[in-house]
Amino acid sequence: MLFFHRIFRRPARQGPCSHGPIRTFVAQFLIAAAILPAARAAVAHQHFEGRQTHPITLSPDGTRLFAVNTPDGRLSVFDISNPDRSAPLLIAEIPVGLEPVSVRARTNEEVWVVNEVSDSVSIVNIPRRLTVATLRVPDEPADVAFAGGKAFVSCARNNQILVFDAATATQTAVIPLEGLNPRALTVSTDGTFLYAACLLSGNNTTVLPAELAPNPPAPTNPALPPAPKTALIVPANDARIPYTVLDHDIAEISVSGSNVVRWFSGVGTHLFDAAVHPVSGDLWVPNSESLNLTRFEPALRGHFIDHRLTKITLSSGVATIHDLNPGIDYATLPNPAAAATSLAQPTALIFQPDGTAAWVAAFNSDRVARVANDGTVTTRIDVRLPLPPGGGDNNSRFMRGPRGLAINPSGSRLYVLNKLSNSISVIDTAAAAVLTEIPAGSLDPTPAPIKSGRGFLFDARLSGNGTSSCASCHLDADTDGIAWDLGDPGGLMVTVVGYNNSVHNATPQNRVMHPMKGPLLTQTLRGFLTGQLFHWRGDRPTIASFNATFPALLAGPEIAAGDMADLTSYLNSIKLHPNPNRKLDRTLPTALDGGNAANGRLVFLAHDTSHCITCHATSPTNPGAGTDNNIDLMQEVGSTQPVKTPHLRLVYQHTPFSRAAGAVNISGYGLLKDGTANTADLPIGHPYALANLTTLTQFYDLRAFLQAFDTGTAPTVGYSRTVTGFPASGSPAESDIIALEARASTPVNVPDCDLAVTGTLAGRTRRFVWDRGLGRYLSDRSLEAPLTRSVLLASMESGDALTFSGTLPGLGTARGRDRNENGIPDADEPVPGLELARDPAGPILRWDAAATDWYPETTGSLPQALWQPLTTPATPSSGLLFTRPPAAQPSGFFRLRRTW
Amino acid sequence: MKNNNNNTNKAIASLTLTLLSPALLSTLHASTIISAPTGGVAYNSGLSLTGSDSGSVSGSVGQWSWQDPAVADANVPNGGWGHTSNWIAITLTEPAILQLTLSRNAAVPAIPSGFFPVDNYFPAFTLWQNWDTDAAPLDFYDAAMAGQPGNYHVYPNTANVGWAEDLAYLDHYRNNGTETSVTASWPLAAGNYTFAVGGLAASSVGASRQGYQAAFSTSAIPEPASLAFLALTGLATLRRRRA
Repeated sequence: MLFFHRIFRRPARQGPCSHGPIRTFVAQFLIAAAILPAARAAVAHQHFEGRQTHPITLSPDGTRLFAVNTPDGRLSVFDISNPDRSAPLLIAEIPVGLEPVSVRARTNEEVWVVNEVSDSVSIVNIPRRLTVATLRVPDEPADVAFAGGKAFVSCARNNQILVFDAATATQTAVIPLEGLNPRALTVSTDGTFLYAACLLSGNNTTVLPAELAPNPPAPTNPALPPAPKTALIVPANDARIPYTVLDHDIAEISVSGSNVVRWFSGVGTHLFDAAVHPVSGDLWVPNSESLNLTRFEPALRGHFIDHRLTKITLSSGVATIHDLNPGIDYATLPNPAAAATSLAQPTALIFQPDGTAAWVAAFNSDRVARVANDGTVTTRIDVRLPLPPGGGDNNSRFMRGPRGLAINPSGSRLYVLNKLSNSISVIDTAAAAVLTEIPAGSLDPTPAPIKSGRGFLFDARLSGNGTSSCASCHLDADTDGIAWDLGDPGGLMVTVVGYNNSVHNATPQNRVMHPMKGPLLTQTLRGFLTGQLFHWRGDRPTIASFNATFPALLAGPEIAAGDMADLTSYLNSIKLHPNPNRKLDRTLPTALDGGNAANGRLVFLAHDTSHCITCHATSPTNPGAGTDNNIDLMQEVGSTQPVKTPHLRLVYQHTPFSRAAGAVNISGYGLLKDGTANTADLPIGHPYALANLTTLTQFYDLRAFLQAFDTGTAPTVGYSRTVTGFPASGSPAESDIIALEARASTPVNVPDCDLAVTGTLAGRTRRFVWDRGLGRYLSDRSLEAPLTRSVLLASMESGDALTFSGTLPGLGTARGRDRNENGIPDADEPVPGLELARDPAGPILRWDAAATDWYPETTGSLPQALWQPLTTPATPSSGLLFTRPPAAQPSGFFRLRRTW
Repeated sequence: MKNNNNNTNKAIASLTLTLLSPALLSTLHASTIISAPTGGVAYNSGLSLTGSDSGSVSGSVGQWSWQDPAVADANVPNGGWGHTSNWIAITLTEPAILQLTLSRNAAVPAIPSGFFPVDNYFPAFTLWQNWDTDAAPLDFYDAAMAGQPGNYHVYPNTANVGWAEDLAYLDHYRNNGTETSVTASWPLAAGNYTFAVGGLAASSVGASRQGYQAAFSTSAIPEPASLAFLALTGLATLRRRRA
């Protein structure tokens, strides 16, 4: 089995394109996973850790495999038509939006790709290798499904399903959902119902506020003072809870009516996928269940999450839960036997076409499991195969992260999209073994330290019994939407220095914190600020200080300092999404939720009116984040223990919550550190005597401003517009392009974004990048003069499509001119030579094995050629790849074609 | 100063009573709401009263706005918070006995809806002579603390205010921790006066603002003979009403 990590190198420079003799290459073909960092501009790597939902799929005719190359923003197309070939053949890499997370084939020729950060869906024409349309959808789209001539797109952050006419891509309806964060979609076997699984559906828990909660128990450490009065996590049906928390897990939606028919409850806390059994029609849902009713970290140690498959019998609605890790003795820690077989965080499920079994991807375990129809796990396949030198199959640095599954029509091949390694494992289902592993694309721009560091967040094998990792709660380095009481009655007091900034007193003050801290909402690990303190209370100074959590909560050993450093690098590389409430030019809206955000900013800054700015300040190192990173007077915010001033960049993500009697909530948690505050109280999330708002206008304006708070990522990042011709003057398309150009030029020193253009001109794949100095587009050809927008657009011919996309600053060149950033524009890159020779066995072709973004094609005749991939398996030897034409092809023409 | 149920609750070391013309009997009429003066201590409201008058202002204040040990330091051992207290500007157009009843008010509208709570409001106040309307300096009132930014948030509640130099301390009322309504009165000359009204709840209580009402009334200054009696005793009348 070969692991192609060499693709992360820049391709070797080669001579002119030729079918003649090729030069001998010295470069060795490496067979290991020492991931080499791609050459990257002098910009610290940044990304968004997109949540892959359905990242891999087959074409309806089963000849093509489609996979998202999330870090590269492309759709990879593989030829899998040849059953003699174990490794899919990469034949196309098509630019789509930013952070593609799902792909579905509407037809053999048309594929829809959901782009999480771009808030868009790319419609891709496969034969033309081209994004022909880009649909704008609400915040954080997750998945797409086709049924009844419609396309359904789940929009996770808005709790909506958008409905499109699948043929015309025209939006026809919006289905609001009373469920939190709908993501995975699946369709019933008869195509009449759509099922939407809510990732953050919750577990029917909520939080009793401190004033109603009983006093905390006495500490077990006799040296501790009494614990502060805190809130208490309770079941939502607790008699003391006057409101209702809906347990809406899966929505059943009528395809014809585009309306919700019923909800299924009791499925799980976090629902990662959903699949319909091809024979019984039952709905199976891989999920995890959070055990947050258990209080205190020592009690949760080694067991705070269960991983399950829940089968919903649709006729009755009854949910039957199957534990993926039955029989574990959680009291035994460490438990190597359990760790050797555990299945943690089941993110994907797919059935054998004949319905005899299901396959589950355990994302945090690096295992794929076969499950019988009675829920029994019958086989476990380790996808983290040993990697020399010195790796070992337990090394988190080489974690694969199986995230998505696809299966061929015969059921003989299971394709596993590994998110963390950005690779595809091909599994022989009969042998239950990995046949081969290939990269998901020819380029992964993720630097090696960051790629390595990710594993330490996600790897459940680091825990004592293999069932948990940091990512068990910090789903995809984000939040799980609930609170946990990870206090320790036997712990130690912690003292952190703070200042009474709220009263403008810079005298250092000791903030003494009790280890029994009460329920606290899981915080995101995205968008870390420079020099920030960690945890709600600011009681952890650095990311490295969380190393103690490995033994304390996960019941595993601490990780090495170097590993923690890479984990830190990884976490620091994750950015927050743009705030969807900001205008494209990054200004504040004047009409948002009944308020004027621009005026609200003035209220925010008005010291005597709101006093917000005093603590939710800006700083040179973290401009505009809305926090002074200080632990202020706790009574200022009605807290019973010291709390750090949180930033305000994610207020827009709040879920409506009310503690009022009779209120109906889709989440059991609201605002503030313990989730007890009503969202209706925004902008005054916490009790705050210093606020002196006197009019409703001030109130609504300030609330609007908070909901449009800048996240540090400009709205133009990821924003894209596809045109198929010269846009009309004054049209939305033209306005978008002009806006992108403007934001790629402003502010001058650090613009909001870069601007890249991908697509075709005169039928040829082309790329361009906006040069703010010239005010023109640089092409992928060094000898081509920079183009004005007008000239660029006027060059389009019938059948062309160009997509203008905002990228993170510094990444436009890689996207629009020089993919591997070796200084050579893409179109000027030397092409590998192809040699056609003959040996006693017959004709043989060979080319440089390092040219992983090239593949052979063949045709029977010229000039009216229908080139097809040459799929006969290729054999590596001495840095070259060798293959032969099919025996059935007596003659032909051959060439190498670049995948992108 | 400690609360004492039986004794007066104020310390008027020297209350200068300007003489007083004989009490003027005038028809009781409503006071005049005036615009809160700008600048200085940042007044929240203003009221002008004649010699026989009444009027009230309402609002919300912090529960411990009048004094919180957490913000007290060597320079301001008895500190109130400027933001969370309410500052009321009073103008007496004639000499009069000014009476203030500071009490809970459950009918103060809160933003965005409902009313401010009152269950943690224990009234307290400070009275100064004059208004202060010029710009507050950024440094602390005590020369030894000069350079501390923006400390005018804290005001001494039993003394002059260094950053509001025009104010001359007259009196204060410290809640005993149980009183929900307090009343006090003073014979005052015509002129301007400043009240800082706030609360004196335990700091461990929640941080929400509380609704209050400050009801003012004026009445005639007693006859000179009676006034002399007052002068001899050195005390002004103080009536206190428990909750």
